[in-house]
Amino acid sequence: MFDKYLKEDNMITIIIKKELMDHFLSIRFFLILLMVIGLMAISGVLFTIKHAKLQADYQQSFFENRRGLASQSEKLMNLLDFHQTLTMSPNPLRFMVDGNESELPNSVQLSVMDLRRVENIGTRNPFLSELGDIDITFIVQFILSFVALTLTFNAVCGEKETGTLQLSLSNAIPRDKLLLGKYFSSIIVITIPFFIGLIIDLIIINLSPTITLSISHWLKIMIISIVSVMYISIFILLGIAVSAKTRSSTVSLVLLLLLWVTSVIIIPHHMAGILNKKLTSIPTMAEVEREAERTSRAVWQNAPPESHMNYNVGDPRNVRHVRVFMDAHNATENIWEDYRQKKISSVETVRKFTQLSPAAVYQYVAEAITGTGLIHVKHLLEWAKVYKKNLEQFFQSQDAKDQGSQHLYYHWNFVSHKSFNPEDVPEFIEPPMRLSQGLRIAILDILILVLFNIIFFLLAFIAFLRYDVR
Amino acid sequence: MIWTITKKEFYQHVISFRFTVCFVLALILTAISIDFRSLDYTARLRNHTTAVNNSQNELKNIEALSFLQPKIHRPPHPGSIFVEGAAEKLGTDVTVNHHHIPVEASGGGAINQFATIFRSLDFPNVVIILLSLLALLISYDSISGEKERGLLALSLSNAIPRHHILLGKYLGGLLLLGYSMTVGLLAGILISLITSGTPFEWESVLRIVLIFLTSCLFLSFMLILGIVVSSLTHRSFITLIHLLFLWVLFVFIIPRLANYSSQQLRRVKSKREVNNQITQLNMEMGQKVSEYRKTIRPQRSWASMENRGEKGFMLTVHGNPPETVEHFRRLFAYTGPLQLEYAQLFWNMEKRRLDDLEKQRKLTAILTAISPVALYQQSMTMLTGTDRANYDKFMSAAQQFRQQIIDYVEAQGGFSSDRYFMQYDFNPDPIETNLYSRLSTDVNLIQQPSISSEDRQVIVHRMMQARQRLKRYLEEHPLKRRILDLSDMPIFEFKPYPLSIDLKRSIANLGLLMLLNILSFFIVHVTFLRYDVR
Repeated sequence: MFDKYLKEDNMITIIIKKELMDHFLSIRFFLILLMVIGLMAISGVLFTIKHAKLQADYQQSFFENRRGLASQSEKLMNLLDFHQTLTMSPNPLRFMVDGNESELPNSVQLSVMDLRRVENIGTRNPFLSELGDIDITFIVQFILSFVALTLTFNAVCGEKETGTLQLSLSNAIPRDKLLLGKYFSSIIVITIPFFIGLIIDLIIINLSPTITLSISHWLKIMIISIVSVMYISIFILLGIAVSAKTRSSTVSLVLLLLLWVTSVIIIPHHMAGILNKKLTSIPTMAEVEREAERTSRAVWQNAPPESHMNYNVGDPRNVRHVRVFMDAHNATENIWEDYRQKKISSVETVRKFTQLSPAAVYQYVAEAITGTGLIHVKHLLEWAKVYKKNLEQFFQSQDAKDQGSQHLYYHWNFVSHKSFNPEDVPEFIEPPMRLSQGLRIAILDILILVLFNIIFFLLAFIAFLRYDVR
Repeated sequence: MIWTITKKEFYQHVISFRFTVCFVLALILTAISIDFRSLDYTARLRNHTTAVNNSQNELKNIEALSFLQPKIHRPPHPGSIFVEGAAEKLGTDVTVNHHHIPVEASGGGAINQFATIFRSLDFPNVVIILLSLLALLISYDSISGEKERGLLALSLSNAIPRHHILLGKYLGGLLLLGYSMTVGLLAGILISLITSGTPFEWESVLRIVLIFLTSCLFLSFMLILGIVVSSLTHRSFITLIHLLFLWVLFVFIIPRLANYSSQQLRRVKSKREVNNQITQLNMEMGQKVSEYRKTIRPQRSWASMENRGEKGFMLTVHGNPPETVEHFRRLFAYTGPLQLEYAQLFWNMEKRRLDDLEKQRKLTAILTAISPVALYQQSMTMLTGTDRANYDKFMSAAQQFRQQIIDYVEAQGGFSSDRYFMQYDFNPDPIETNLYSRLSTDVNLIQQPSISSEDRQVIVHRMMQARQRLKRYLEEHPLKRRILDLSDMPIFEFKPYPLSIDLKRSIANLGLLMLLNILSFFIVHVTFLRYDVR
């Protein structure tokens, strides 16, 4: 009973072996191997240097914050104005998915009263073009997908031209088995250099003293590898599909190259840039400043005149004054927060449009799972706000101990001027992004990748079944 | 004979599938990019004019020289219609004041700090991504392909010298590429003229011609490269694989690798470090000022003032006693020069960081010179004035302007003059002085802890009366509030570099491109002459 199945599987294995031999003995494979492994190794080394610097900078930043707090510890009210600079914790998985974090904001200034200056204070060089660092997703997105096309563009029409397709099909080989054989052999040919390179990279990374990978990191690495294979599979199927639709391998190649250029380069980067400017109208900083000033002035003007002054400590009229003061302050803070959210959501809207391209979808999945890029920035902001609340609680509890303070939050005149112990101030801890969180964000995009696979597989299948091999 | 071969090559490819598809796509993308960028340029120019007008209006209402902090703006460059260079992503606005030497500009392309991941489409992008690919697609089978089909043997069996065939193929390909570029450029320029009406002057036309010629130089190299590899292999398929590999290497891998390596190999202090050092220096300066304040007599008793922190300070027309005025005179005489000194210290630190960034950039430039794509891109940004040269020129003009403003304020009386920190000219008559001194005495008295509460009531009552009397007096004899006449103030002017300077800057890059062309031309002669056509 099992003999029948064994014989059929045998067929596919024979085809796969034949295709594999074809590829392995060709110059293509050798070049791919060289390029991929070489690049991964170099980028691994460069990453260890980069990560060490980022770690040192991050620790330095933490230390500076504590030192700053200590210098302000003479008066509690200093905390109203003293800003800590909270920086993003370096993510060791950036060797897999860089997410362009060198260009994005990586810090926020925070005091008890406000949150401001979300900017990049790293080692970014504004005079160099922001090409992004070489990470594994770059190699997969650009190089391996390109390689997939060069492997499969003549899978069908090339064999037809040389006449071998006719010969193969004159045997009792069902077409679908032939197709599957080509598909699996291409996958194997590309994933071998990928995994060799990945392992070399991982060895280099693990040798570095500053990088430790936890279980959740390894899990994320495995998931990204699987998603990468899914992405490569899309281009293999696309190559076979186009190859099975055309009669000349040159035509097939030209079409595939142009499809590749459009979906990997133009849509995710250049079209996105154009859409960004066309779809969104972000006011300039000067305009927002003016609006903030106007709003603040309006609050003050609408308040009754007695609340414009502050009186001696203990005077109940101060309550009204501080209320107006905080209303004006909060109104301004809200304007800046809205501005920030507008900027972020405009970027996210543009990204939605780029999901036409599998390369963009792959990038978003990778970023979500490892928690790098724009997602990391949002994560930082979210936890910075939580920390601000902790700071406020600390402030109020310290202030409550001082009898001489009028406890009006947060006017410098009516809060404690006593000293505090800087060690008691809570520390800012940015928890790592959980995998479950990332998967929740990425699930839709993963499904889109699966959909691409299915669509192109069907196209290839149908086209090949109807293909005239003469 | 060469011309015949050229024509044959041209017609053969013009009707081919590969050319048509690339041509149409390149045409669409070039037109879109030029149109989009010219609309963007018009918008940026409008923003610039508005900003300049706003800033000039602000200068009309200055009441005290401490508020004299003119804002200057860098204009957009019309060359950015064709090329998006580094300058577009750098800032455009600088506020000039005495306590800070301008190091970098704000605003401009840096508006949305979360959108740095997007790139814009410009003409060189289309050339690099599409047209260079087309160059390779035309030339990859020019020799090996023709050999496979047996046509090469047929052609050479005639009395045609080999280099004629070579030249013919090259010129045919070049014409083809030049034709694609011209159509795209013309379409783009036409559409942008219609939609945004940007006027083109003489210099702009010259720049466009230079851009076109540089692109031809680049594409010519890619073409010859294709022919070289084609004449080194005997199967067009192998040629193609090798050429595509080289293409990916030149366009994607080398620029990124160079960027990545130079940033890790050449260390730059993070902005955070420099900010921190500046904060430390600021605290040091603040302490010095506090120390000084404790020493100056007389102490001020009370002040009616408007304090905008770094943006400026002034004593207002609601009246101020003489000891207050004297206090601030001495204070500003000390803090003014101190701030100038510290501005120099901040500058030293930031300048060191800028120099390190420049060293990084130079290293990248050297490493990417292997790739003709990078040479091409750099030349394009230089020729259109959209590289950092104009930004640097603006920043040094800003620094010089700052010095001019400082000299101007000095000439007007300096930091301790009435014009610097007062809304009015201080010249009280005896009655006013008397009123002030009575009020001041009481203000000082009430701050003594040893006063009993009944005495305090009396003093407060007396103070209120004195205040009212002073208020009435000032209403009857109002202090003259003066708006400063700044018509003799230095004016900021900035013009971007003319084409001649831009050309001089790009000579090295263009020279290298030309050298690559000549070198590869020699190589292809040699390899084709040795080619076995059987």
